Amino acid sequence: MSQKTSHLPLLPPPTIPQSPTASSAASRSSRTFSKIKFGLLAGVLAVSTVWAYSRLVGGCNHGGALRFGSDEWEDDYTGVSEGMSGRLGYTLVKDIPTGSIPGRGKRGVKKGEGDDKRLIIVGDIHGMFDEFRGLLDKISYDSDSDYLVLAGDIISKGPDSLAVLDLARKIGAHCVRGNHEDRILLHYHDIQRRKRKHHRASEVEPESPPESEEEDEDEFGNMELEVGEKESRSLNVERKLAKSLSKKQAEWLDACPLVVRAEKVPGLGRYYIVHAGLVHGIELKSQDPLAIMTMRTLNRHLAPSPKQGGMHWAKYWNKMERRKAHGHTTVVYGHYAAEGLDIRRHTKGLDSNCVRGGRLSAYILEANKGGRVEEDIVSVKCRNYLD
Amino acid sequence: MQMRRMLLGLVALISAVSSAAVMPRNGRGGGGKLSRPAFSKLARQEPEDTKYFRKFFFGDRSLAIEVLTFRPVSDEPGFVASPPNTPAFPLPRADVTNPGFDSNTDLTGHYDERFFSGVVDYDARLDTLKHMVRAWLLTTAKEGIETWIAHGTLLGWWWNGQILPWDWDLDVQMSADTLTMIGDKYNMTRHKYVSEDGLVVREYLLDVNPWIWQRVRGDGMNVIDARWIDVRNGLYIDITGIAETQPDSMPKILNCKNYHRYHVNDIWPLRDTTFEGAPAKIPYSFDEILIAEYRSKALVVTEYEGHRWNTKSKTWDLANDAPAGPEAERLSNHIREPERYYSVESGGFFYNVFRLLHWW
Repeated sequence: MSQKTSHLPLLPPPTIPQSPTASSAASRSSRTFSKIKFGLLAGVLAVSTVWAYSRLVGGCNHGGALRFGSDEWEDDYTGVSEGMSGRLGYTLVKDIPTGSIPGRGKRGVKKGEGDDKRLIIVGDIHGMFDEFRGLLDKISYDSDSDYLVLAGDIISKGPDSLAVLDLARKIGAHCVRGNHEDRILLHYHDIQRRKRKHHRASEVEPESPPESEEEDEDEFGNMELEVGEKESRSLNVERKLAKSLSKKQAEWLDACPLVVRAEKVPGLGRYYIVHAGLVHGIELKSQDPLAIMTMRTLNRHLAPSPKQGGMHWAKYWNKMERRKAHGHTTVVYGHYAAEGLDIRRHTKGLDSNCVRGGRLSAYILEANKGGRVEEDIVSVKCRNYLD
Repeated sequence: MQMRRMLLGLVALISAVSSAAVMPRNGRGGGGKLSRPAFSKLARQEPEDTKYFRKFFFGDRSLAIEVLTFRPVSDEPGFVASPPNTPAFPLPRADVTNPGFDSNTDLTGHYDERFFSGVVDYDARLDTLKHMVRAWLLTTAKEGIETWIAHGTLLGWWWNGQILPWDWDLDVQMSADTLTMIGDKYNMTRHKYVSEDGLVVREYLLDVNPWIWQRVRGDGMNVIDARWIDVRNGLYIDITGIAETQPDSMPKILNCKNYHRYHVNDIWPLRDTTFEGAPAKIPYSFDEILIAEYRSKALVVTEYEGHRWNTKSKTWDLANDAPAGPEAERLSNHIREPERYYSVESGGFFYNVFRLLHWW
């Protein structure tokens, strides 16, 4: 062994041809063992080099480009549609008072007791009065301790829209503006304006009020006729419902914000309740108010669309939320009946298609005995109203 | 023992070399690459055989132009719709009456011949359009005429509730029945307008095309149904009617004569808002309508036709450095030339090892 140290060879030295007979079985096995040891050592070294390097540089960076891209988009978007909801006359956001958020009562949660506050969110009711009442019974709703939010589309389509509205107002429910409320209210205000105009006209010419009324009706009928008798049936149905709304009901609906927000739910973070969805990474006031009520998917530029072509917005939301270590935001929404009850980690889709014979679902947040806030889903079966 | 030392030395050498390769490649001597002759980035004359790239990638018109100018959503294959400014009315024969005009410029299609009194400049045009649209909105609200803003004007509303400053004309729509009604009741009526501060007094003429009963496009000369004309200089608002032209094959689909299609539920119920400070109405699904017409890029691009979006004041400001007209077209027509192989550097062995480690 000693003669090999005379110089520093880069290759292993040639083996001596005389030796094989001399080497015993034991020494051969120890040599193979040492070779394995060297191999292991080299492997460990290589791996640790890579590891140390990656620690130094910052690790896998696959998501970097994407995140940058979304930031860039956010910049553009922020500049663009800020204040749109103001221009359209919407209330953007309302906060749930701290005292009503489960686990955040005034005296805090006593150990071993929990608190009695519940946050209950009910998906698209669509005027299914019996089912709504059945659901309230099933969850034993108590208006003193429970904070009930109806996640949009309370009215329209179903049999008893007005009864649902009255019940919701009576029991002190809160609401989010959905696309159907939006349409009905637009019709409602249009009708009210026509009525006011007609009143003003009859004040100016008091001698011919019946005539002007006729004219008004005529003009009104004209527009319905123009879009075709049979074809505009859905429009006419909406208009009929809008006509039957009382002033108080309309005011109550008009006060519904686009977003209801619950800050700092213990252990779960922030909650947004919207009707259709939100685009992740865009602050609330820069979100497109129309898209909040109608979106289903995002295209590859993150532009929201009510169609079902692109990526489900909730998928993108969860993907981005999972990257965060803390400060998570959960969205509770309805609107997407085609997906049914869609409970993911950071999004909760509640439209389980009640009006077409599915179920009516409620999402409940409640502080349990240990003081932790836990989520629960309760639903009731619906009769098949549409088709 | 010795073999172990050798292996250690080898590993140490490799790691040292690979960390040396981390040094920036552009730095002098970093990465041990060969110096290449600097490749001239100047664009060359477009080679004959790359011409098809242009067609393939960019289409015939430049991207920016395509995004923000009119693009009819026509489904008929092989049908080429002409722009909406195709006049329903006799236009000034530019080459005859105004020899200074090139009939290809943006100017001639936007004046009504009867009231034309010379081309207005930028500020005068904006002022004219602003008061014109305010007058239209206030008058229709007073008379109870149901109308809503459309096309480029709606895009202007989307950005900041004002007219896009490069717009030459304004577009509003109404249902065909309303159009017939104003044809009967208001045709050729003149309307006085006094601005809020009382300083501006203008007069407008509502002129309805006698061919409004023809709900199909015909020869393309009949696409604008009515005009709201500023009698001082002949600038006008285009008023188009929409109606259900094929109730059997396409129920609930409304058309204007230029093959724009709308679903009934996308238009009604109309939304109330303000435009240029006057109460206005817009279609229910304005988002979808805008995106279908202009692509979502038009809602994002912040530089257009010599204007730049000011994020602070939320207005489009004139910007000298923002490309406009033919220059913008040239920029967006920029051709990607396929580069020769030598222009791509291999980077050498160690650089590639570094890349392997770095992007692991």
